Amino acid sequence: MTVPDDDARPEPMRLGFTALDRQIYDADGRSVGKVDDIELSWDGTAARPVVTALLTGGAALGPRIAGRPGRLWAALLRRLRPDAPEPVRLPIGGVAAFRPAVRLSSPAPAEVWAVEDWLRDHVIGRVPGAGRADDNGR
Amino acid sequence: MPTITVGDLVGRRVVDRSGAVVGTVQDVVVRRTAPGIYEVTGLVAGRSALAGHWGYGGSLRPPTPLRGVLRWMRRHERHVRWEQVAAVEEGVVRVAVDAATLDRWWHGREPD
Repeated sequence: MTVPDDDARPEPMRLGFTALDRQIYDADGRSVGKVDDIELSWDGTAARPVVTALLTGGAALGPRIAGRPGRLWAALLRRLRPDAPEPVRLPIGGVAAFRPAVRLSSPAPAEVWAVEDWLRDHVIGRVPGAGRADDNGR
Repeated sequence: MPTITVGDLVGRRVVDRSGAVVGTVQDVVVRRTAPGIYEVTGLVAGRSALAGHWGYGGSLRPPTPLRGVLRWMRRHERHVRWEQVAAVEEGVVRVAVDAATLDRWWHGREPD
């Protein structure tokens, strides 16, 4: 399914208000998570930074929590998921719209469901009767 | 390529050319310049983000009873155009002009 690019509004927008903590849906309409942070980059030639990616996942949320709670969250995540210390990057080119929710123009990468996959395999899948589920867990 | 996140920018102190504190970074203003290209045009600086969280100020105009309240809540808000940013340093954004010359409104016009 192709999502039309309907966010062609020329007026400026407040990025934090518009996108941070908003729900992300991929092109198949599946909920991907929330926008936990937004990456800006300078390419060395442009005078102004540009938005390069949306960051999602617990690893992106930690730095936004100020002080000790943020550090505790980051440390906990490093301990639980030492193989995935970086947030999931969703390149801005794949964002079809920001409003009312963030919509991607393609299916989301598999790593955005890493936590859900882990919970399904290690927790939900071990609950008696879980093998009789009528779908694949999504 | 140097990178920074919005979450890292928000909350940094904003100081003007003379070292006076304008406020803290409340938000980042972007404009869509081409498909998939969102360019940072400036920062919203102020003392509180509370008024901004109501969502009014861009294309969305507040109802009449709220206009005065929101205008009062945003009395400290200033728009720093990116061209006015002199440096982005650890914990602080330095502005190359005096605070008095900064725009009042990030969307270019006074709210109704």
